[in-house]
Amino acid sequence: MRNSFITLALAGLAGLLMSMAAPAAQAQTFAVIVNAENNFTGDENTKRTQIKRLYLKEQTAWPGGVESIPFGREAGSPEQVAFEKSVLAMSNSEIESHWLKLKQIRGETPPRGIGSVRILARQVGKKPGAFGVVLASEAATIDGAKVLFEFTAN
Amino acid sequence: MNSSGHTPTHHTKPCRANDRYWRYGATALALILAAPSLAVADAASDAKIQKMQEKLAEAMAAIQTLSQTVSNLQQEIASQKAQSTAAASNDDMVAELDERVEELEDTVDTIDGRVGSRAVANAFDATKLDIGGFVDIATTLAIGEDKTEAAFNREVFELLLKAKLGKNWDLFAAQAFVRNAPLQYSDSNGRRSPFFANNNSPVVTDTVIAWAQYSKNDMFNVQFGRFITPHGIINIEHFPANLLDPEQPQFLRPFPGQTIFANFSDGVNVHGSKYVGNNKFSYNAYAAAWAGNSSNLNIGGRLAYAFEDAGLTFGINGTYGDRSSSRPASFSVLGADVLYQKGRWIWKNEIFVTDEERAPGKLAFYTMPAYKLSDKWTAFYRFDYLDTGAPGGESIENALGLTFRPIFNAHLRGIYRWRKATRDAGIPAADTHVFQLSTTFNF
Repeated sequence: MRNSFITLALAGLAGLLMSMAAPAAQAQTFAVIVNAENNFTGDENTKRTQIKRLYLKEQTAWPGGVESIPFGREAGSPEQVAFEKSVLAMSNSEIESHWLKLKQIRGETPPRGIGSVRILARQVGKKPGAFGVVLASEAATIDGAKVLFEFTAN
Repeated sequence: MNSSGHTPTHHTKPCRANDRYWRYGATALALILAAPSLAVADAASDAKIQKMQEKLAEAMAAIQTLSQTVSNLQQEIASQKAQSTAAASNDDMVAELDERVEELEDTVDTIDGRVGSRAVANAFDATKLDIGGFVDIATTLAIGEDKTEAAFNREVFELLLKAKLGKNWDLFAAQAFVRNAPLQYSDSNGRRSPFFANNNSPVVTDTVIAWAQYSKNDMFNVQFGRFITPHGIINIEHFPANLLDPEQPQFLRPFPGQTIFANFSDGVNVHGSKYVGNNKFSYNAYAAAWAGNSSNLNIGGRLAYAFEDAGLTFGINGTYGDRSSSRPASFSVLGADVLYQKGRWIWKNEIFVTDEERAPGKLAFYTMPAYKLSDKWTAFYRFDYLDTGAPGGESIENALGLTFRPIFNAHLRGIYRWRKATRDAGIPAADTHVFQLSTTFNF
């Protein structure tokens, strides 16, 4: 009985140590990519604000007149969650209310959410006004696109 | 001593000459005697050299062989390296192709899951077509001034349709199908509010919105057709799915009436917006008729300026027109609205006054603070005042509500409303307590 107790205690202690040693959620770096022909410039805050307005369809064109083609990522994906949290800076309910309002007032729908980074890359590379969010490590390999800005999120 | 064995003397010349002769002679003799030995020694060296040459040749051959072997090995190693790199590259390519195929399969699977063997709907001529809508259900209990009770319900099914006709052209329509339960409640002065039904027409269909729009850019858009009259805050948001209280403020009742201004107008609406730094300017200008008075044109508009960082939007509104097609009844409306929306707070405020020909002016305003208790729960209060200028036309509503969004597509509400219809000369009071449960489902 005593041995069992000691065994259990040791197992518990080992589990505790393992859980303490488990790495905390690591921050990941993401990148908002735009078509390579996009010549929008500004400081990072300006770029974030512009992307937010275009993504939420408060504006439909880039400064200069090129039609905006925003792309989202799959709902719940790390890229989309990070984008909503760090760039849009809105809660789920705020985002949902926003799209509900636009749907009912003028029939607008949220940007298409793309799961595959390659399909997103192809779209952004082909369309001058397009943009989307990818992992920063994936951004360098995308032809026809460039990084507008990077951001970090847990 | 010298080599001849004699000790040299330094005193006589004849001795030196003799010594010299002796030396020459000895040398010559030594050479003659050594000649055969030297000849033998040369022969031995030649043999050794030959042997050495043979060994050298062997060594050279060995070196050449080794050199060839090393060269072969180097070539072999280089070849193996090249093969290894090519193999690794092929592995990477295969892995990448596998990954791509998996992504494509996932995409196809998703599309197949949505479409399957069902027919895919196509628009006749639109390049893009979105269809959605909502169902709004409300059940209400009203307890009147004399303690009489009336319970009734209302169902609204509304279909929303957006079609893209071309690069700059869109079409948007909202068709409502409304069913109102017959309302067993009346007031001799018609003060029923919230307004639920025309008892004689419990079923109503109404084309709420139907416009085509040309969009030049964000600053210039032109709508043609039937649109929401662009005044204030709540009338623009309009639909129950957007609203905390599906019963709109008193000045927007009855639906689709024209107490202060018409909820909907038929005509042309030019609108646009522009960002100025972190602020947003927007405008509407319209010329349109009210459905109940199609022979007269109303003109009006709205200017709004939003301070995005502060969460504040200010709007001013104005209209001029005629309320009647049968008699002169011109009117003008002036209004202002303030929206504060930041963090957990949403605070809507609107005020409108009218100047009427051959009728008293009207005044209406409300203030409606709301607080988000969480992402799903919101509490609100609304103080709503309307004075139509007519006898018994003053009424005040206090509404207190709690709304809940269990999921994005559902909006549940519980609202208590105390409506105070003022006693006036010869007109009794008609205060009412209204309890309402409602829900809106969107798709």
